Amino acid sequence: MDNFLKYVVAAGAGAGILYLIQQNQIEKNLPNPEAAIEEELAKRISSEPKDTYRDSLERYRSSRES
Amino acid sequence: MIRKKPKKKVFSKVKKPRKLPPRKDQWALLAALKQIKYFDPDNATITINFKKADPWSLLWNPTTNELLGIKNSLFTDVELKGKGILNLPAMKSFIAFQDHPSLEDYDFSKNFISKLITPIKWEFLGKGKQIDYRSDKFNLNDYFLYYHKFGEYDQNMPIIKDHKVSIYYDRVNKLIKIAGGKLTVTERGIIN
Repeated sequence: MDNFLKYVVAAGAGAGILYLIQQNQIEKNLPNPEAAIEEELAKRISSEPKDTYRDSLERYRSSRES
Repeated sequence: MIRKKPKKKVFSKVKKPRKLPPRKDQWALLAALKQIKYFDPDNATITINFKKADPWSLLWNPTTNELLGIKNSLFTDVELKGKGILNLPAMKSFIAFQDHPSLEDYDFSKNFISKLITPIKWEFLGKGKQIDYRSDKFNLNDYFLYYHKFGEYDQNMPIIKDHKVSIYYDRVNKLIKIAGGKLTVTERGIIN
């Protein structure tokens, strides 16, 4: 019975240590909040349509000239 | 003939009380900021986590009704002493939020406004979904993680009821602002 208790305690302690290591790893892998926000904003800008009003105006002008 | 030693000037060691910043720049330090969630223009949820190693705080300005996320390294706390402090709006908000009056905790952020690069350009991030903060607001030194939702929604429908709270970001000073709607801080905590 004593041995059984020892195994249970050892297993519990092992699981606890593994959990802490995992949490620490998750924390380390998190990006900086400001970097994450700026990356998200950059994605937003790059996904915007690049054909702006100015582009269409120039196309119109060039077609008129030709 | 005995020469008299010139008298040394005695400077008073009593420091003058620090002048408080104007009311619009007085902030109550509410809690440690842990997570912010917001909806981007495509209604997708963006989650921003704050690390333990680089902690951020949540400040409240009762004059402008704004919550501010700021890096702890960007400001220092000031312990306030003297008459009339309990009547300051930021102090009232702090006492209402914390629920346990303790003079040691009556910290406002230092006048960090003077360190900021102005004018501040706020970029709209999206509609606020949720913030998580860690606080001992109900029992002193008994910290819990609290979740506050800014609207009513579920997984299938992004926003059922929009409470019009928005999240903004300043790239230069690295600040996050949460404002809009009926956002306020009372005895019940953050309300919107």
